[in-house]
Amino acid sequence: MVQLMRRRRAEGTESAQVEETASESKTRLIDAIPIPMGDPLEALLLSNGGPVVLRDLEFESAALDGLRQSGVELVVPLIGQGELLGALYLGPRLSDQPYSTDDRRLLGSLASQVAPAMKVAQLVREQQAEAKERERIQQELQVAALIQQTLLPKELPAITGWQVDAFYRPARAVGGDFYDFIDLEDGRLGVVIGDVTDKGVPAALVMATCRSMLRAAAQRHSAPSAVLAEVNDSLVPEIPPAMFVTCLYAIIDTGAGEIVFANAGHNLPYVRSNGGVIELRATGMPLGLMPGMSYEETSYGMGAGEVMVLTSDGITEAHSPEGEMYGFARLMGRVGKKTSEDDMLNEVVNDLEKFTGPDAEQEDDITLVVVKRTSSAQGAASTFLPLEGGVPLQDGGESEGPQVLARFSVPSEEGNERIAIAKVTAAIGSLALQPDRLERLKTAVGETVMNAIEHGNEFRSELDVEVEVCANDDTVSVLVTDQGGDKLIPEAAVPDIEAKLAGEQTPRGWGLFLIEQMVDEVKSTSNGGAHTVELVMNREGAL
Amino acid sequence: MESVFEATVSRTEDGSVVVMSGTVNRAAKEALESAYEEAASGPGKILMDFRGVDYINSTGIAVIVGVLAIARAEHRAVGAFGLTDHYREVFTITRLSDFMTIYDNETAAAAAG
Amino acid sequence: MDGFSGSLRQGLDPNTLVGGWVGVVSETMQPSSVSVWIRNDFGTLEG
Repeated sequence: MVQLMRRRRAEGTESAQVEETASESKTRLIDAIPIPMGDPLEALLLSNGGPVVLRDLEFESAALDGLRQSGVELVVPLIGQGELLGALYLGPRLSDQPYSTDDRRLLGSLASQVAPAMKVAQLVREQQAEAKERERIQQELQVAALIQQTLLPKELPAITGWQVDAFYRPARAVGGDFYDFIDLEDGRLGVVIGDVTDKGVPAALVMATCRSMLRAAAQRHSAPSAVLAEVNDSLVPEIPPAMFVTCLYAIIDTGAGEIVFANAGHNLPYVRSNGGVIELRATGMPLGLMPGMSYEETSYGMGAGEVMVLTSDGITEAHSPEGEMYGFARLMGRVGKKTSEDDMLNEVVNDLEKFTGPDAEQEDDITLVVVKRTSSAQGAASTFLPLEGGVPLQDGGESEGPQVLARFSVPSEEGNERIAIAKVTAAIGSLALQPDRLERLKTAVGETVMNAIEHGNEFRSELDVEVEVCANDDTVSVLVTDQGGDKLIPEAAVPDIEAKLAGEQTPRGWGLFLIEQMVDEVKSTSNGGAHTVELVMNREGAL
Repeated sequence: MESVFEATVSRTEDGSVVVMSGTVNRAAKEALESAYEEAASGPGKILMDFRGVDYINSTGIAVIVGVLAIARAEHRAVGAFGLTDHYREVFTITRLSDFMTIYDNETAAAAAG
Repeated sequence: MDGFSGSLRQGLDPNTLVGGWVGVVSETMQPSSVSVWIRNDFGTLEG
């Protein structure tokens, strides 16, 4: 706080020398005594405005007594905008000459120049500090947003008979909302929605940790309550104090239509059932607060046309310009309304935007996951939605219809077949194909996507190659669609390596041959502008 | 995603090794051909070391066929090692293995006459 | 003295200002002791 000042001036050796002499041999440094607010000395200095000789003063003041005891003879106040900013205390002169009127005038004039400069310097320093802080916050926000964007799902699950939608919009300060979809065995899908208290990078890091813990636990336990209990215990020692995570974890049995969920203090789900809107309840403490928690489990059988809506509190706690909160009642009412479009996700978002007004700055992250059961027909392959362009799929009359494991597209650019290979590999990871068959399928996918990029879409990056991965009990299929029109895939001729080596044939022309050699069946169809190659691999001898 | 292809040449007692790394596709043509030329400037057999290769596609196979065509014209023996089981299978299916000897590992390749 | 007035006009950081002020006063007045008190809520002065 108070600093004793007796510095050597940096500029001008002459004056520095004078000061040194003064400080070392003659001038004595004394502790700076504060003049507290309300002390009579403060009032006097303010009313007087200039230097004051202490000897002339006659009133009771702690500060005055202290200064006199320290041998101070003259006080030069530093006054800025009517406030006492500080003071310079001088002892008697070395020459024992008293401070003359001229001396005091000079000292007063100096102080009156220092005061405004001090004020300005202080403001500049504060502004610099603020600018630095703003820059730091901005950088932190960018990092937080990056972490969050990297970890949120890039694709929505595509499941026969179900429609899954998600909406996520970060607030400027990036809160800790997240959601996730986890592929589970036996046609089950894990759905996560959560919110980390706090914002910025710390929240994003906790979110990343929590997400990977959830993913790992989801593969180990089949009950949502057990998943949350495990994540809670793992999170407690990892999470910074005063931070916690609300989270709802639901498992959808996509065949039977049953949803089982457990809830760690998150917003409850609403279901627009065929008999009206209902709130599903399950209790449990947020994750990361204390170990050994147990979580209640609730299940609900979704009928065809029924919709479940999961939200974060960024929706329910959003405010109107008048300061009213959106609230649960309004959300529940909105979920209960069925419109002709039946587009739950956009209807809730639009209603929220109407409520907060167009100019409102979003207070918190907004996350919404909507799960709709579109059809309750089980095992009917006809319920599977074909790709645009109408790709005929196997009739699938026996056993289960094909399950779509992934659907994505890559731009038609050199090298993108490797993205497709990686995504297909990830999508079929749970099928446990034998390693050699997996490698062959990867090569076939790479060659097929490469053909689609190069020959179908002719490297036009504005055209996408669409890839769909599906599986039934017996086979895995990868469908690769380009916009190459009606050209059918030619029969793959066996390339003549002798002719190629002799320079009688181009060294190229291996792609189609390889594809046919790698998989069990290759089908090719064209419909309108779209051309689809379907690679079929039997799942025989799967691990 | 794409890992850059690189090829360097090292001399052994009885020939040269073309040490490759990264992706073998059409982009590898120039580097692989100049590495082959460098290897072929010395005496003895030429071995292609695939241990550092993570991906070979059909355009890469075409590049290898191109190199084998040059070798054949020059009557140079070419061998290969360090291929994964899968790419060994691919080399068999495409009959590349009929024109370059595939060895199980570096030692076997070096030992072979 | 002139140098100090110049630095006042240019605007400096508070430490330098106070240091300059004390320096000029010591030089011109030759006091046996000198000290400065700055109200701490006005801003922290780093020594």
